[in-house]
Amino acid sequence: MNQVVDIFKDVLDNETLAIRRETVAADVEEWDSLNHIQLIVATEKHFKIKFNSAEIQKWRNVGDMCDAIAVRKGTE
Amino acid sequence: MKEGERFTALFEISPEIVVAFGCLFQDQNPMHINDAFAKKHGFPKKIVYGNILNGFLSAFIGERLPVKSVLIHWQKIFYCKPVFCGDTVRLEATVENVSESVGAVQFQYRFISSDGQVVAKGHFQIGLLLEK
Repeated sequence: MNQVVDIFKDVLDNETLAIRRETVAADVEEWDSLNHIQLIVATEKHFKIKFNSAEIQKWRNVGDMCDAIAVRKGTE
Repeated sequence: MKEGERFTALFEISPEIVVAFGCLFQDQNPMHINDAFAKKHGFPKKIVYGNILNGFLSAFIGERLPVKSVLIHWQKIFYCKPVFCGDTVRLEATVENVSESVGAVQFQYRFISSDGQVVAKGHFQIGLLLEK
């Protein structure tokens, strides 16, 4: 989770962001459609994984994203 | 487009392009229109507006890639050496990352002068658009 928070702070250029598992795009002013793409790209690069479009459309919040990362990395 | 795939294109920096750029964007800085001024600053003659290369990059992305339904997410450029009116530059762009989940493709690119020198380089990312 901490690494994901750092990615959000970097991509959204906001060091004071408070990101929790329950956080959704509507909670974060900077989290628009283009930044959403950058968040996914940055996350894939950081963790050296690839998502698919079907799974990211099912994510309800940051927690779901973290769970998907854990599954990919085998750390769930 | 796959990671490692490379695309190239040639662009001529004609006098018409240089003059048009200066007029369109109202940049008449003497470095770009006055040989004597440029010589005083160590250049052999007036130098081309660097952002003309960005224009070529736009044309490359819009018309030379195998897909037309694209838009630019972001681009970065570093100017390494000056270019001059009448030069021909070759743009080489290599796919360095594909994020299929969000339809984003990142490239590394270089502009190379006719004598083989890298005059500018950088990265850009495009989004592949779906028809609705």
